[in-house]
Amino acid sequence: MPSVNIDGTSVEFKPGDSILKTAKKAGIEIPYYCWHPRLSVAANCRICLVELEKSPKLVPACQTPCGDGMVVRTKSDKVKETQKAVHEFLLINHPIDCPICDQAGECKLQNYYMKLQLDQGPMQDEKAHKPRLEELGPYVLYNGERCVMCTRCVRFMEEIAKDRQLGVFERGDHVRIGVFPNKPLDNPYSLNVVDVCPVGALTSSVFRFKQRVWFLSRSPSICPGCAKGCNVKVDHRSGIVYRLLPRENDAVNQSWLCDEGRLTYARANDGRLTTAAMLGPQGVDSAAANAALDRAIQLLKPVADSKQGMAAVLSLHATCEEAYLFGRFVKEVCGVDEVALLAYADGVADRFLRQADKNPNRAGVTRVLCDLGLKTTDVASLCNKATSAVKALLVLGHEGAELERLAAWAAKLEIVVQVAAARSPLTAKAHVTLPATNWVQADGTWQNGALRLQRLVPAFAPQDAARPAHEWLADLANGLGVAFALSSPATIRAEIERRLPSFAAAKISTVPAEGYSPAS
Amino acid sequence: MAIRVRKQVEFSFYEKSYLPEVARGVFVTLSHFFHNLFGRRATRPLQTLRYPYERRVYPQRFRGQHRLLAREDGSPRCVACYMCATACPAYCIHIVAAESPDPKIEKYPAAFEIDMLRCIYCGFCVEACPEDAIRMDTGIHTPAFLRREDAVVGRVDLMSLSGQAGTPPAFGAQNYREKKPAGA
Repeated sequence: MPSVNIDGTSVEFKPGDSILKTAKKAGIEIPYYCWHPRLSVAANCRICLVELEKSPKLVPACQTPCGDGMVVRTKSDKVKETQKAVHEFLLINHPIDCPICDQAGECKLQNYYMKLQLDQGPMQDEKAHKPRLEELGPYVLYNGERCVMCTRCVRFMEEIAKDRQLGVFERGDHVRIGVFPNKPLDNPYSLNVVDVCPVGALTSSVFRFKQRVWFLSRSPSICPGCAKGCNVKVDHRSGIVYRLLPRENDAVNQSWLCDEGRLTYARANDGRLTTAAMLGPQGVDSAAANAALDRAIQLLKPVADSKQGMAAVLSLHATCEEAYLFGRFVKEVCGVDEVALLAYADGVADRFLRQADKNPNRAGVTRVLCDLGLKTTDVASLCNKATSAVKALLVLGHEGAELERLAAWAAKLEIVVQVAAARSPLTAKAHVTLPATNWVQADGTWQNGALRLQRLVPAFAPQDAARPAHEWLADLANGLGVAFALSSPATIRAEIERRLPSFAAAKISTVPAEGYSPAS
Repeated sequence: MAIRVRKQVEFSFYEKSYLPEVARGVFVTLSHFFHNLFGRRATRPLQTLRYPYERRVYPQRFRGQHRLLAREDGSPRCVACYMCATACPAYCIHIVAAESPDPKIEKYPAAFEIDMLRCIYCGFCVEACPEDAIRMDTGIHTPAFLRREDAVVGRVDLMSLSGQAGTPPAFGAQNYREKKPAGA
């Protein structure tokens, strides 16, 4: 393999790779703004200029391909001086309003300023003034003064979203990023331009001013928006989720995430249940967790004894582990042979990320239930059934479009027990509601539409009385006289692998961080 | 180093006669007593104050109750940048930022609350503020609170205070200065 000498170390490179890419691979840092690993090269920010032996001028590292035997210097005095000068130019019209800028804390301009410049610069004239709050679209706001004109956003719309909604308008001091008249930035992937923006010029109207980023903790997770299962980073603080950002995964979503998926962060916060509830004479009231569990056991006891008259509903947001335990519970304890699946209706799909199936774990849940020997149906056909044959209803989950209908049907039943993470129309009708964890707090596995197994990592601990659904199910089963010795998701995964034929080869217990597609 | 040996004090006959020295001691004690009781405040040696009816003048840099400063038009100077909340070691500052109605200003604090029970009066928030919007120069002690939720002081109350030697705050339990005990 040909090699290039960067700062005295010999680095091998793939023919065609730029100096910047090669250096990055070797762990040598060259600053950059306009370059992005998944976008075309623009070489307009000039901060990545490096010294090339036998070249009279400095060259942009992002654009210059490596040649065999090249000698590159990225830390020489000449380079440092130039980087400082380029940074001065970039900051000529920048307002340096970091304290009120949402990007502060994750801003390249801020970081490189601390690293490369660290002074006021010689500029004395007044800065150019531009529109500071321009609505480009429903979710994206533009501050012209902060923009460094790297055109990453324009290139994203052109090359990845394939929708030329953004452009560079005017020249010189008046230059700005903008949209065309009467054509707002309403592409379903518009919020990615906020991610690619290296400075605070493009901000999300959803996350704007909600939190300073240095307060947020980050943990890896999966987007619950559709069957694509895009990898995301969950930014949260004190048990509240503030935003979802794409997590890089070449096999699923590269570095992108659709707007619809991003907005699902609110589902993790809305109406979260943290106390158990029971239906009393005065309506639904919160109750002690132990009392609610005892009541649920007492209510389900006759059904468990007769093994008749039970209807079971499972949300397609449940993890494979929850689905397995739910399946075993309804089959072995309650004698159910058919589970209704609570689902969101199909939505918009496209050729990029968005899938028509808006449920993140349809594949996993149906395969687990099928392997357990259970039939599946939908909530609509369950609700068409006469209520006379059904005595009790057990529902796991709260995510689905047909909740209103299910709640109306459940109101006629004698016994309704719900294990759910958030309030829903059903909560008002359920005789016992046990608070469970949602997808952000769950330790489990989802299988996306392409049958890729991906692990959910708990971002934060369950609050108050909330517990993972599998713990409630195990307690219910133990209370009804069937011993479920399943204490943790890991033991459930081991048992799934042992007992379910579809997962024997899939190795659900050793899913790596980037997910895993079993050869099918 | 040599050990210094203290010599026995030799008393004179006058001292040994005892009574005149007792009288001198009583005179010194009584002179202090009456000086402190009736003497002028500035010259008397006794430093005890009858707090809270008498108060010491605090130094200029005394860190008392916080206040928020206003712009000329009465809107808060604070731009909700969270620098104070970030610097705060006691996590006692809670801010909710919102879009400012003034187009020249980007953010303003829709809510700005300080939990006075948590605050340790370190003054880091004052140091951190880039807008000189928060100061601790009111020269007043934070009043007593009867309920926990009263101790969370909001933006309007914080803005109602003025600088050194200003009026006592409207929030908190009754002020000691206004409610003198009976017979005082």
